[in-house]
Amino acid sequence: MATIAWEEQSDEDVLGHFIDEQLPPRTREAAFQTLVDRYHRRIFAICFRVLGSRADAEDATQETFVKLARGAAGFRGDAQLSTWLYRVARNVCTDHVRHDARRPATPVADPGDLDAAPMEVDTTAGTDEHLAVTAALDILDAISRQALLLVAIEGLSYAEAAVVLGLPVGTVKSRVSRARVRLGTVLERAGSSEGTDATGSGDRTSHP
Amino acid sequence: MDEIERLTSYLDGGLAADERRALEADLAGDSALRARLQALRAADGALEELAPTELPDGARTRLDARLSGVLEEVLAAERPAALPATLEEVVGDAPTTAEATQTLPDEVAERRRRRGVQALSGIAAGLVLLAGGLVGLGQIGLLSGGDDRLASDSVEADMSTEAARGSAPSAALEADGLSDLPLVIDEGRNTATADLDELLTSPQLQALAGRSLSPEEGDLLAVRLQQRLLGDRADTAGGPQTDGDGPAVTEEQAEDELGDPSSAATGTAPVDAAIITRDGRALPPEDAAAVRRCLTSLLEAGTQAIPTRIELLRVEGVPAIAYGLITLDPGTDAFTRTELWTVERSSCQVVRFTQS
Repeated sequence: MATIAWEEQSDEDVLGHFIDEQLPPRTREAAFQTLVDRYHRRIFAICFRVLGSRADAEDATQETFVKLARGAAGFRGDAQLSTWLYRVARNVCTDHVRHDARRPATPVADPGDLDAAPMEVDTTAGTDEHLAVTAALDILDAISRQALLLVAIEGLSYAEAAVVLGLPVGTVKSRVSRARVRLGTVLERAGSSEGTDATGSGDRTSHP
Repeated sequence: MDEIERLTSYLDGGLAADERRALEADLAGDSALRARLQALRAADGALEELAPTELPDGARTRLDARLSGVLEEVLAAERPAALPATLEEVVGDAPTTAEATQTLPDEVAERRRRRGVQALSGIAAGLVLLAGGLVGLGQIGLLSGGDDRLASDSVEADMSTEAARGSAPSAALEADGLSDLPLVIDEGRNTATADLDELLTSPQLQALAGRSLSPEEGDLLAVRLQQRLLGDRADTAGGPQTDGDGPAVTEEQAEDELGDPSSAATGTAPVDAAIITRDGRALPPEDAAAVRRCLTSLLEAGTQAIPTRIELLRVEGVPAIAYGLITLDPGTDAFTRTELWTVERSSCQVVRFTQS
């Protein structure tokens, strides 16, 4: 059996191998593992940014890939696989926050509910600079913070972040822009007056 | 573009040369604007210090462990040979619209005669399960036309029948006729979220809402149709046959379905045979399972709802299922409210909800 050069294949082509029942199970599994290689870190990062907890994010990431394995045959290829995966991840994360909402009273999944998610301190942040940024980020409302982190740190495009957050692209752009200004203002203020509390009087509920 | 977006575009290198020059001129004369630009630079500098999130140690090993059983199961599952492999096959083999719309009301009429059931058969004929995946727009137009005709024809006939009989008590909701009628699969479509709302005005929903069923009648019909859609799960749940107390599906069974959709997809639940395509074939088990799974999750809130129109479709490219439900409107104390719930097929998460 010829080895397939997965790296030369698009996500959608790789997925095509996974769902092709004519192929040997070993090949199909290799295809799936290729998708895991490509998206595992990114899906984890997204879930972490949305949920704010590494343990929850790892659960949600696993669930997302389980859904990919089970639902791959339902993916019929007129969206990018990445978009589809981000959307699944978003839904899984939303589920994590709201287990009970099978037929919710507020039916359209409202990412604002994720406001309640606590922000886990980033354990990789060691320097003062890191701590200052982390503290400053905390003044942002949850959605703006998530949007900013997804775009500025995790490298998602505005369109991808929009899928993850369930918001229009324009809203994500304006949130990110405003979040950058707020963040910068707080950082400057903190830098110019050492010792004051950067998280003191943030408006956590501002909306565009 | 507002001021902040102008500044961020400037920093991101997204401004045209003339816009850039104009902004720089503004910056020279506006200290507040300069302060904002400075803040943006401070933020970007700080954010650059933060590294993208890394996977925790051992995360891949734990993921592989979680996936191993799932992959084994998925890779072992063979698609039943008798089922069409692709949607194109389904659509390609389907009868023409004219055939479909002519034969179906005849079948309905035949059953009606045979069973002697008069009331509500029009509604049942209007209960059209629209299924499929992505198809061309041309096919949608054709099939939609037929669909409208089917519903309005039979509902009209039924209205006159009932008018002649006078008002129908719950006895008129004789279940035999309903439980024997085929659910008809029509077409799928690919649509934008914003266009979903037009499903609310579909003739099936309008016709049933127009009947203003009393709470008792509506509950009864809701239970009947839910049993019809959810099949033996409903029948064996010890659920009400006639009392209309709610969806006859136990929490446990619903959880089973939700927790393991693949078992429903590969199983041979007899209910699948009850959901058929226009040309009389069974709905592919994975589709039937998805329809049941998400309906079950929608109905879990306990509010009585009559599933009236179901469509398998793609919304913004994502496989989804739209459920048109008729529910009790407290304002009229009758089943006159139309609700459209669109859920993502893989997760049953609601992506859009609208009501009349």
